[in-house]
Amino acid sequence: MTGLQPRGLSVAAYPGHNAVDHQIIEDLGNGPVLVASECPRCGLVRYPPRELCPDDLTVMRTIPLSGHGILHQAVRVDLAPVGFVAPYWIAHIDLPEGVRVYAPLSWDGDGDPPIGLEVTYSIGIVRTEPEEILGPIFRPLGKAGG
Amino acid sequence: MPRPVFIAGVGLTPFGKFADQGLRSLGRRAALDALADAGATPADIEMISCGSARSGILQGRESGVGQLVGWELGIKGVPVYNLKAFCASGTSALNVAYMAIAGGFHDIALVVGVEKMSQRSGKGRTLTSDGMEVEGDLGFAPPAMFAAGALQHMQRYGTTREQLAQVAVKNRQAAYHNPRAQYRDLITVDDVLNSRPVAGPLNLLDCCPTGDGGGAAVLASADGLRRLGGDAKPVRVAATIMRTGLYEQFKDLTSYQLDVETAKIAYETAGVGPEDVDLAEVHDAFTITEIIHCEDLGFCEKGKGGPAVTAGEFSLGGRLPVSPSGGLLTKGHPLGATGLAQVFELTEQLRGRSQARQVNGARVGLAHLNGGFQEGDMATSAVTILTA
Repeated sequence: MTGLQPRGLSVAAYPGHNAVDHQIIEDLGNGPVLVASECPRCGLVRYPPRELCPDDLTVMRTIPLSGHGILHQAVRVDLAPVGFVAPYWIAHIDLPEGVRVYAPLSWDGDGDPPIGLEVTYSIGIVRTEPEEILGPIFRPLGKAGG
Repeated sequence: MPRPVFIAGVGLTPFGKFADQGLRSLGRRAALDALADAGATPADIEMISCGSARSGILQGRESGVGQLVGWELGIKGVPVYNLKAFCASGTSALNVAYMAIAGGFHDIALVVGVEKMSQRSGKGRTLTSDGMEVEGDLGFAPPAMFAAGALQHMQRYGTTREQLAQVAVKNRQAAYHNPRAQYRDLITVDDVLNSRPVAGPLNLLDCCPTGDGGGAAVLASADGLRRLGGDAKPVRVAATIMRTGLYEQFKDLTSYQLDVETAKIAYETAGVGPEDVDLAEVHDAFTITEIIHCEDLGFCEKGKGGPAVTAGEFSLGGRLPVSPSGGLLTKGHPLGATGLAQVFELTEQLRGRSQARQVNGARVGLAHLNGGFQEGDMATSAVTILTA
């Protein structure tokens, strides 16, 4: 684990947005975890987190995401945006709480990662520029994470 | 009932990377051409509607691009509306001008769209979109988002890598006849397959290039048309529909339901169906997106877009030419200008003035753009239908 605080995603890089807009990681008491929002009234779960339920405008509560997911689609990126080193994998991952997250996927297997692959995640540095940013990095279930 | 609205004149700069051009000069040139085409003078213009998406972050001109272009032309004392709707900013400007005229508030409006994309840091790196802050920080730039859709389309429908590449080949064949396109050299499927890998199955030639440009149109009511002196045949704005996203948590990566619904409203508004469309300009920012949009707009059966491209159905001379201008894949995608470039192409085609790339007998043209992202889904859909 790094000495960085689990602030989720960059705020400084996007003037005009506040921290809540981009807070996908929070420490809910047991270390930083990926979070979503759940409506206490209708039970709707949304990711990324948001303040109000889009269906009934109730203030949503923050819930941790289990992180035990199923790979929906993965893409190898060969031309990297600033702050990333190509090649790397990014993925759509379906979580049992009823959300689909998108995140880096650590994959060094033969060929493409298979759709339906069971994955889990740990928190790590996902971007290095313009500042270091912490985020979820998924990996095949059973493989040690950093 | 909305009043009928017509396009009285259009103007479009060449698209490319112009170190010596800025928002002012690009907007001015397009607008002057549109005024001349409409037979209008600056004094005829009752309002300006202007689309530009990234002028703030790229040029430090966040507000007032419409005022800037109006000032260049000596247009004074009129309302100006500046619209920012990501890739659909220019179409958004058209939409607002349409409402002002259809609603009876004005008779003649100038619509401008302009963007200078070549002036930015990180040249050679992918440019992320507004609304993708979370995705961007996790490594999801737009090419990767659409590459995921391409992979799913290939897995689900058997779409081939070569069919994707054929979209780029087809659009270059059209651009060969378009002097305003940025890249006009003919290419082959092998050229696309051997170009630099970007994300997933998408290579460099599967992606639209960076580009600068300006586009403009003069819109008028029937009364406005009578006041103008243009010789060119006016074109009717039969529908301009814009909608915000649906924000589906488990969205289908091979189809955009927002577009399906927006197109349905546009067809109903215009009183036509996809079978009536003679040509279309769609949001072909990537080869896969042209295929998906053609399917969502009802131009072919779902999953059949790839074979339709290979069969030449969407080529010039085919049953429904798509991207007859060469599309974003050859012109580039100066966000604010793209919507007006589509309107330029449709208008000229419906007037029968497109020369070597003319779609014979064209009566109905459709333009489509998405705009931006929110919660991983499209933030905007815009469908415009013009009729001769």
